[in-house]
Amino acid sequence: VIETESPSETLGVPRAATCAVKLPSFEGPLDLLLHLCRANEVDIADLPIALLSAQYLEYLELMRQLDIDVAAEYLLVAATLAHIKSRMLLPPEPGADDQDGPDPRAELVRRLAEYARFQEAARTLAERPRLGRDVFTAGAEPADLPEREARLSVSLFALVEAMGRLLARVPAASRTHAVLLERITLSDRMLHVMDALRARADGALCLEDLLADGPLTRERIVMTFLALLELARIQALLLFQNIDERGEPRGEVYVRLAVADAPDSAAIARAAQRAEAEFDARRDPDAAPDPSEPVPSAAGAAAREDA
Amino acid sequence: VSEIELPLAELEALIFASSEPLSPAAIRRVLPALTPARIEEAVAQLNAELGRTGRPYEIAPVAGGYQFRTRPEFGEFLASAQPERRVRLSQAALETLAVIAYRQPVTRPEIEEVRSVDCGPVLRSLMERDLVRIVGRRDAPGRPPLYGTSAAFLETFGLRSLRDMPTLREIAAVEQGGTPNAGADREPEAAETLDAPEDPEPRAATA
Repeated sequence: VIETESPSETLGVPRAATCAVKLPSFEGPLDLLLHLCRANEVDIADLPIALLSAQYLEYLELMRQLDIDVAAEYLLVAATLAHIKSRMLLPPEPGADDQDGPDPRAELVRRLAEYARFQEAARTLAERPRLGRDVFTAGAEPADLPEREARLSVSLFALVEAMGRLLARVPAASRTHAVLLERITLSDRMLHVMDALRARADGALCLEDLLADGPLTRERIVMTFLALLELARIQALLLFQNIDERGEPRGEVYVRLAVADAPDSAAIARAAQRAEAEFDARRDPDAAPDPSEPVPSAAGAAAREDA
Repeated sequence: VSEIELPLAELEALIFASSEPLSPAAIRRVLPALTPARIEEAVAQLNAELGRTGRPYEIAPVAGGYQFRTRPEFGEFLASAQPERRVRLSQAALETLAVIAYRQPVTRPEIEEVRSVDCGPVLRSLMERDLVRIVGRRDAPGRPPLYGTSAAFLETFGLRSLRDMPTLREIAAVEQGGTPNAGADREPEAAETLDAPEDPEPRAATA
């Protein structure tokens, strides 16, 4: 793979593959076309298709010779260029009311102009003073205080990772034994989580703490995890995660009671029941009658007997 | 404009003690006299004072709030002190961010239509960095996720709100040195003007 500092650096149009050619890398076919426009000093609005498609193909050939994978997107644009070129070579259709007709280049010109503007927008973004690059906030998190928490929207990735870590710790025996000793319900787990959190007034609990009331089995982990998601959804609790010295979320995910506007116990019980019903319906679609399924009618039954 | 004495020191203390941009609402809870306009005025006075005395930091209006930040001219110096903290964004990431910022809410195919390349990996990385988030789903077959920028995006680029960004039209004008280009007179799409319906909430103001 050949990489260069920036695709925008003004290299000339690559002519021939010398040994140690430094090929500008492009963000995509449109980026390459824009580069060719700039190198030839032509206006996007007046694309010289023949010239550009020749140089474009030359570049693709160069990439091929250098054993660089030419992504399908490049080939698609190559085909577009060839198509436009062929349409421009054709005489106007006899039936056409005026000679001009729609410019076959119009769509490509539009896309190029649009992309050029977004590239410029990206440049203005890049030039802004950037937090963590040009400007810094007060170092609020000393590196030796790893327990510092930041409230953040714990990403689903982090939660799933946390759950994956727990599942990985399920003893092998309990993974192979499919015997269900207890029927763990979602509402049980939701109420347990809330009880455990209330017992810890101001404290935060990690996922493991919430499972400490019984054996670490797959079903209990999954149910507890679902209970957390459900409680977070009704905003009964908050999810936290530690951040490292770079401010990246990392490590254990914590749970804490929502302080303000937390739903009361009755609301949680109702939510638990509703979640339970929904969960059961999803897990076992046959158990709950599906209203969308047509009830077999007497006529239908008769028809089947005929068949 | 203000006839009242602005509680400058208190405001400075509040903003100083907050680890995240402090919203006008959070300020007003503690200093009821400070309307958003008065906060603006007070911050301007504080910044003038900080500049006059040559402090290397200032109060920056970002993501709908106010935050103490070092001045950009100390960026090189501070980054050299902690090179591992430097935040880098690739060209692909910047382009994708630009498309999302101006077109949001936007689906992945729409982003790819503009950039002409697969944007899956870069989208994922932007989401992991919390700069981009899923803001909803389009009511279309497959219900594709809609992407938008986050509060962290505003904080990272020092933007008050999305309206703080130059419009694409302005950008095109700068790019072309003021002369109209192929696209400038052809901007029927509403997306050309930045019409972000609402700015993301500033992140939880600290208590």
